[in-house]
Amino acid sequence: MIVEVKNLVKRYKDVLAVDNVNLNIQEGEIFGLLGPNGAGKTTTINVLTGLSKADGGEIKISGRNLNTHEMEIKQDLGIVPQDIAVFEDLTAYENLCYFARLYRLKGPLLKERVEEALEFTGLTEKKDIYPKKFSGGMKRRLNIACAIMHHPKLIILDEPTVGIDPQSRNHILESIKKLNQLGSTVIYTSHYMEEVDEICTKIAIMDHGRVIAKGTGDELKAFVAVDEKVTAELASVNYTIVDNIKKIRGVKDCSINGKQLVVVSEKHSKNLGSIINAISDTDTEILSLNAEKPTLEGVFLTLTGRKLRD
Amino acid sequence: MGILNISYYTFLKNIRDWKYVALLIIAPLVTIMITGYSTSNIDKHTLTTKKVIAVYIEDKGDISDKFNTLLKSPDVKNAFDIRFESSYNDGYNMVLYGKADTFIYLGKGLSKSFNSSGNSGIKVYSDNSVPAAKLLVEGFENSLNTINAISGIKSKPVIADVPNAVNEVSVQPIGKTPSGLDRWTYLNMLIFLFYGALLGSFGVINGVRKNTLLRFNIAPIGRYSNVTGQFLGNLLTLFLCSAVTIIASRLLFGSNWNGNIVLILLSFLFYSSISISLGMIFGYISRKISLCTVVILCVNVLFVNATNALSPDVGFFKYVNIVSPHNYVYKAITNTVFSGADSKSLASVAALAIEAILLFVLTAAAGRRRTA
Repeated sequence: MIVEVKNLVKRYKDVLAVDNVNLNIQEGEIFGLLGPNGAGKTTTINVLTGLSKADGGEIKISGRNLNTHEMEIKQDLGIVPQDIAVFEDLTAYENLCYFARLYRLKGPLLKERVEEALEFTGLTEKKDIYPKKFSGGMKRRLNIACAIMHHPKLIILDEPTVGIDPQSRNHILESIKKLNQLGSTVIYTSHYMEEVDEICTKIAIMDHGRVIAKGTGDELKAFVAVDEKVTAELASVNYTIVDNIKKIRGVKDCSINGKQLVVVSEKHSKNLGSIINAISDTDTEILSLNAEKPTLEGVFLTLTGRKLRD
Repeated sequence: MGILNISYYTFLKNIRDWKYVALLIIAPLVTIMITGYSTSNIDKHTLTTKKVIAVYIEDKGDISDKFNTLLKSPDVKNAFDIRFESSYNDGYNMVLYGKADTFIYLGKGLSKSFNSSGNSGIKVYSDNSVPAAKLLVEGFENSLNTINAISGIKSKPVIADVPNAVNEVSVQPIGKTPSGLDRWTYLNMLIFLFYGALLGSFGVINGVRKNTLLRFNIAPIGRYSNVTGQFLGNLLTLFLCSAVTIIASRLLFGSNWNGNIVLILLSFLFYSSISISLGMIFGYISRKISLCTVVILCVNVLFVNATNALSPDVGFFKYVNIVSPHNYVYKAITNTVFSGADSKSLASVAALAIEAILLFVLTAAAGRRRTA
């Protein structure tokens, strides 16, 4: 177990930001902390990294208590903060050298690690450029590079893809997977459930400072009753299709809106083939077909009664 | 390692910012050029003290007219402060009560007496046996080719061989009194270097605003490493700026730095330290750039105006000067450069050192808070 959090409590005056949170993160996992803004994700991360003092509970990282072994634990942590934290008056290379030295890297090893981080984040060509001339995505990548030079055992990324283009987002997500393959455990916080669903091996959903569910993505989706939905764009309208489809096992509802057919089934009903056959039997051409599986958004909606981005 | 690393990169960031270089080196040199040169001639005249001579001319003859003309000549007016009195007693009392250095009396019938006997009888009254005005009278009498008669209030008349002309010229000793240029060189440097406090404020506030402070708080370095490293980086920047300004003012304008250079540099080192500490403390407390700028401006104006260069060391200013680093540096420089009084200069440097240490302790205390 690389991270053990027991009954963590953190208050800001009268506001209970983190309320009795318990987390266990295994070595080698990509652990997703999912929740809306204000759910307590960043506060939890701040306490884990020693930026804030906990008001209650116990935190152990690599088996060491955070209160008594803060310096050793910090040496093993790599943190990518939510906001970009680089000096704009220093080049990308100088920024990396500056922060690498804070982790006691020096000499040839320092140079090697800086070059490696630049290569990893695809910034080698831009190393002598000041970050103020970087795009948002490049700044985010530099932000990540600053956190990985000392080869940390545990990397914490706090919403690293906020406000960037899809290309940079994909690059960052790929980088996270690669870091994990290289042996680092990753804690990834986000309110983008698709990202968490894509890269995380374990997920905890937070709301109002509490962990309301945790498990793998599939476990969470199975945990709640969420319907499956199939939407088909038809070449022509034939209302006998609706009657035929309603007879299929697991179908809860079927309707036609213009040329769009919408079929709602119980979860795990595995009836997509039967639905397609029912349409084909009426000689109606299918222009497009979309099968929606349960999502983490749906899980969150079921658990809290509101959408994740509300 | 951590502290030196932070100091180095803080220094690197500072010197790359042209705004700091403009504020800390170019601005003081430009103002030294303007204020220094414009005041250097004014100061030269106001610093000379003229002897006061009281004169009463009772006689109405040609000799008295000639003497009156001599007193009104430019050379004599430049050398003496001539006060024409309305009676013998008024003139005599001027000397008696210390309001004048000398009283010159030309009695009734003096011209007539001179023309008949060749004896002028001009009387010079003074408590000084060889008053400066005596030379004036003797020169005048010699020019009339006569023998004088001089009476002293407390001594016997003094008769001496004297030159034919009197022309006392005030001479300002080089390097013994601050010229306008020197004074404004020191003041302008103090004014602008104090704005170096903004280096400290901006460093602290930008660290919070741009999240870079977070990198230090999550790194395995001591709680005081960041604040000490930033302090040293800013101190190095400001001290180098002061050294460059000293050299440039000397080479470009000829400002006087001919004192004990170690004491001068030490005073600027501690002064820079005080500025940076104050800036960092304001930054940690307020977290607002505009507020820091206004506070630093006000403190600077108060301290500059309280210095002995601009105000007498009395009343309110006397109390301000107890804590004013500006005044201690000014005294340290003027004592070593113009009086050669290195011991007095050292006392001022010691006061600066104590103030610098106290403020650094406060800076460290203010900067050790966690920031999340």
